[in-house]
Amino acid sequence: MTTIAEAHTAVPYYLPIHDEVEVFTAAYECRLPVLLKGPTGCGKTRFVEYMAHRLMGEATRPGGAPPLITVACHEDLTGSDLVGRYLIQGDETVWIDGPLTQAVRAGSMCYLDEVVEARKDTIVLIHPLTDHRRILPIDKRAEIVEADPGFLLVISYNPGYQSVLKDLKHSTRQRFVSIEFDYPPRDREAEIVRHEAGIDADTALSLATLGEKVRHLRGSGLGEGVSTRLLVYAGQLMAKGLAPRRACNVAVTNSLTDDPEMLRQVSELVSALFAE
Amino acid sequence: MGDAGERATASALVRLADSLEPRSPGFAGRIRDLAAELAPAIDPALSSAFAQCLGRVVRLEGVGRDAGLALVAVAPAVIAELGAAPIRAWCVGFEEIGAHSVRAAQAFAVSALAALSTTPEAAGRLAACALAVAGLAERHRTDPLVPRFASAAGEAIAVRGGSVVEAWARYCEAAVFGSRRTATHFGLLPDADGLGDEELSSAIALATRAATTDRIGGHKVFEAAPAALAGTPRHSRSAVMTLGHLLAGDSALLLDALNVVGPVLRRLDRPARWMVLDLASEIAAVARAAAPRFLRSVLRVGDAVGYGHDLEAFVREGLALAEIQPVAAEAFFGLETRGARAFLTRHDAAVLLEDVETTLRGYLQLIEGERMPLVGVEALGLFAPIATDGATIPVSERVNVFPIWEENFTLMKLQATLGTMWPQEGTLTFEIGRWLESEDEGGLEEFFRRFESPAAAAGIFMHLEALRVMPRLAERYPGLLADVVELRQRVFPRDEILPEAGAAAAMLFLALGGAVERVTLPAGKGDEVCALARAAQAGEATVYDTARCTALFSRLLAEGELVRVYGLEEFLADDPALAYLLDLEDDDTPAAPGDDPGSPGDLAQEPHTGKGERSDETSPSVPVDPELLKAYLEQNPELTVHRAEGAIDPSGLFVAGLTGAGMAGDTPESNRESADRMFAVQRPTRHAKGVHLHDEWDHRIEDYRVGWCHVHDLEVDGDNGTFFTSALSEHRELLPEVRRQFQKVKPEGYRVLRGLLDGEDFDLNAVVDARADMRARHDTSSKLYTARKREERDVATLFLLDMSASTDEETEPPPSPDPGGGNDDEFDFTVRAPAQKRRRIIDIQKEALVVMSQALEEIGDLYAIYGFSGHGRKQVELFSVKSFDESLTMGVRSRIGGIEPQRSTRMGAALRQALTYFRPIVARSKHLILLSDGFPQDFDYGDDRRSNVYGLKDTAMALREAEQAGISTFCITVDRSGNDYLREMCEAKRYLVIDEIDALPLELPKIYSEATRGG
Repeated sequence: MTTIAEAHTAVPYYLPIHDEVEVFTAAYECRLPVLLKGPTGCGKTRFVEYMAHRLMGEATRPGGAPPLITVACHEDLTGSDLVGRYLIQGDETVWIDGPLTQAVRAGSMCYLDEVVEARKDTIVLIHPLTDHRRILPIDKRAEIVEADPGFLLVISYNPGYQSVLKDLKHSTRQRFVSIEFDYPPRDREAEIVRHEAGIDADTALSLATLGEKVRHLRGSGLGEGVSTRLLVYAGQLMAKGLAPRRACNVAVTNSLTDDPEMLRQVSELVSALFAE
Repeated sequence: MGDAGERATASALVRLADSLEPRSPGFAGRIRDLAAELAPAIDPALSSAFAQCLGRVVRLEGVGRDAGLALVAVAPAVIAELGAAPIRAWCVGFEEIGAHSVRAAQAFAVSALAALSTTPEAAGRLAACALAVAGLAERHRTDPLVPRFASAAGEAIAVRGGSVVEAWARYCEAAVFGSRRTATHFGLLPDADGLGDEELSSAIALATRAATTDRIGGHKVFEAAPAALAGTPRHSRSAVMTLGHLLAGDSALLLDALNVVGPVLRRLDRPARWMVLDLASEIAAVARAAAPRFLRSVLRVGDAVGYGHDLEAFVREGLALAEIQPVAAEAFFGLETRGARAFLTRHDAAVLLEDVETTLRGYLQLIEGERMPLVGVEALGLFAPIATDGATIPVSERVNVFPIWEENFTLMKLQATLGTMWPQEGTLTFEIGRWLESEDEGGLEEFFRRFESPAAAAGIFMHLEALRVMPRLAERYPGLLADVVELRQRVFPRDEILPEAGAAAAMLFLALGGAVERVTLPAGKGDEVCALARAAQAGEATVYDTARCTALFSRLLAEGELVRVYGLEEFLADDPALAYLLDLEDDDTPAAPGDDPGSPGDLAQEPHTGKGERSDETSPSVPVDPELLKAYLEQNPELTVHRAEGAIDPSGLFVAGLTGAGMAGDTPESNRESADRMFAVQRPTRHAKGVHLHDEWDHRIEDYRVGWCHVHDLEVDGDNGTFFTSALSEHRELLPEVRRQFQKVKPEGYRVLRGLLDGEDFDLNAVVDARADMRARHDTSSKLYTARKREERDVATLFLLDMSASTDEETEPPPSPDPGGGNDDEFDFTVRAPAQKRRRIIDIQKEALVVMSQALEEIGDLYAIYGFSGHGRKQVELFSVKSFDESLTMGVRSRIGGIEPQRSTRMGAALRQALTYFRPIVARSKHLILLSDGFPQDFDYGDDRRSNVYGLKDTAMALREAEQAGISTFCITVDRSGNDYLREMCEAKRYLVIDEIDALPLELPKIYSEATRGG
């Protein structure tokens, strides 16, 4: 089993499902920005980590930036949060680069997770970075930063639960190569869970079956169904000696919903699949 | 008999004739004729007694009158047979009654004589009977009804004794005399087989007591009580009577109790009967009206909690309520309250499908990935029958096999899971032609049909099929199997089947996932089942193997191998189908009818053949050799099923049980229905789409009445949108105003965030502080900015419109707009329409909705429109005009126009249903705006129709439920007296009374923007 601490130094574990590794590699060769589409917890972030490691190695970029800079977007994320801002420190104002600017300057990979959550003005900022110009204008400093040749912008987006209001604009969307993700098929997912949680293959397969079946309820109250990540959590708990039913209920069932009836149904499924 | 004797006989009668000659020569002549006829037939002593009696009769009533004539008309042979004593007794009776009323005496004498001559036993009853009539005659000397009663009483001695007639007389006195209206009622003495005289008279005495307060009701009791009493087990009749007397003050209650008590008691065993009757009496003494309800619900309660301490505790809880509020106890014992239901759930081990249906459906959807139609059926043994068309998943309506709720649920879950497996396991593709290697066509139905008892075959087949798929189930659902193992170990604690246990036990054991290695059966005694299990384990068994095994098993039925299943008694005795597996010595088995030895009539009278009862209709299957059967089927595919006649052979009970519990015709269905009518708490109408049950708050019992209101989903018929269009053009001028109103709403969706590192503007306070800090050489904060954060407007509103009949009322005509468009020209001679357009309250409400929906469409807020009305709690109607996910389509426009006044205003139920429409809605703020024209009202909205308190309290509670669900409510009424009751229902800021109803279209948008501000 790979411990979490090791995961940062060793190659992150990723089990390719389709041709996503080849597609991403090709896109990186051309420095084409990449959009990852897919539901929560299906492995997008892990994939980016894996690709960053594979393509850019472990070495810190010039200027001290890491090879991959990840920004989790949220609805209060402003342009300044990405680009940088002047801060008043005592009597002085000091310019601090934001994560995007850092990545652009250092030639890191910048990953904007759940990009549609960010405010619309934020998204416009990335437009000049994603076409042939590869520049980042910083209004406040009247500066235009040209991207380092190593720089690549990756964004992710979850089409499942976004409301119509929060859809990605076409002008944005059409600047990216899109790679579609979904939860892995059962045997692959079982393999992932087995590896990540360090449990035996049978239990992992049961967990994958649980995932597959819970996803049956997609669209009828359970949002997106259970993520691979949650299945891994359940497996990890089991590996620590927690009874399987209990582990599934705390890691999966309770995380999915608060509706008592739905809880009941999922825990019935859990008890049909796990003996104790 | 010699001449002297003849002469003596003749002489007594002849002497009498002689003495009567002067007064009535004709009568005297008839006596002489009789004397001549009698002379050779009877002895002188009888003859002289006869003559003496006749003389006494004539003395009292005169010559040639009714009684005398009747006596003379009796055939000599009959006289001879009767003997002297009865005739004397008859005569004494006549005289006793005659002392008070000759006419009554005559009437009695005539009818009693007829009874005497046909029924010898009547003689012994005559004296007491006459005494009763005489008593009545004495008390009501002149009443013309007395002779009529006397006549009837005389007839009665043919069947009943004096005590009954006495009781009857008392009843007539109480119920009939003095009231001509009921005079026709007493002619018929109610009777019932199996009742002794004492019991019948006590039943009549009960009616008498009831009649003293309520003649009509008393009469109903009079008619019903004997049959009801006869329907109760003999040893409990006196206790039933005691209970009856406690209820006698209210004949409606008494009747209700009498109607249910028999069927209820018959389903209980002896100790339970005593307990139920004691408890019912206890309840009757405290809260009379609650007692019949207790009797109605006791089977369900007892079923759930047993007939022991828990049942007593249940009654204590109800009685405690009775001390505070009798109505509460009634509702409690009727199982109408949440409190009572909660008690049952706390103690009930039975799983009802209706309680877990949602869970099971969800579970099935989870494992199968699609919605599976779940249907409740009667189980055949442990499992529900296979739906041969594969279109549904059948599970038991109710599982009460094991002592723990969870175990029963596991069984139901197993049934459901098996139901999903048949299609994949090839069960449903069975073809009879393939099995028989013939040209026959048909599937499982046809296969079952070819057995002597199709239901039995289906039952066996299903258990065997479950056994066959068990290895696959274990593989796919190891957790479920682990739970099933616990069930199995409950039934078979040693987890093995010994040779003497028999094949049926082996079948159940294996069907519950038992290991075939732990089954030992003697050769030829069902080892086929083990072979099937082994083949299944190896993955080699097909549905045809199951079919073959089913056929083989039919032979075992006859050999008695399936009868006895050891170890199941304790758990399965309650299960109607499996009870037949057990060799129960049923001396006092609750379900067995006719448990009073010596009253074979009980069987025939049993009105409700409960599902668990052994019925003579189901007879054992005839043993069929499988090879023979196969050959036979090939020759004769049209073989029809005959039922064997004759006594039940225990070897066939398995079959009989399966048949009795399941698919044989429609009997179980109708039984269940009648049983429901009799005892059951109201259940939802299954399959009836669009009916929702809602609880209702009853302030008197301070509890919810469970599933009290049936809310029906209906759709308004549209009007093609004409109303919408015309209303819109009429209120054209309002729209800009409303729009302005809404514009004001929108910019409020900003929130200022302070203390930011960076932002749109300085946070002056922070800047000043920072500056001051700096001067004071302190550390300064760098959070000096503010920013405006735009809040997305995210509002969902449901308009709930009162469509009660009162909205049909017209309003005062509005100040009519000048045709000249504001031109005050007094020489305007335009002819006005003679009658103003009829504007009703509902029209104005609709207009308001038109303006509202038009405006909302522009602002983009989510909204829905529903109307409600109804009639009684079972018929609350909720009309859908526009749901949340519809836009303002033509259909919606036309439905707004189609809103018309209906019936009542049961607000609480409508509100509760409306709340459910919010469930799928994700919005930051949710609002419900209730538009009404009066207080909540319905004919059964509380007991007292004139009082609106019940309705107000329920509505208030429903509004509170809405607030708890995060939905803010606002009530608008156009009733000017609305303040009076709205104050009771909701907070002052949550309602508005509109004085000028015409202002509603303008006011509603204002209220809306006010109510949803900040959303």
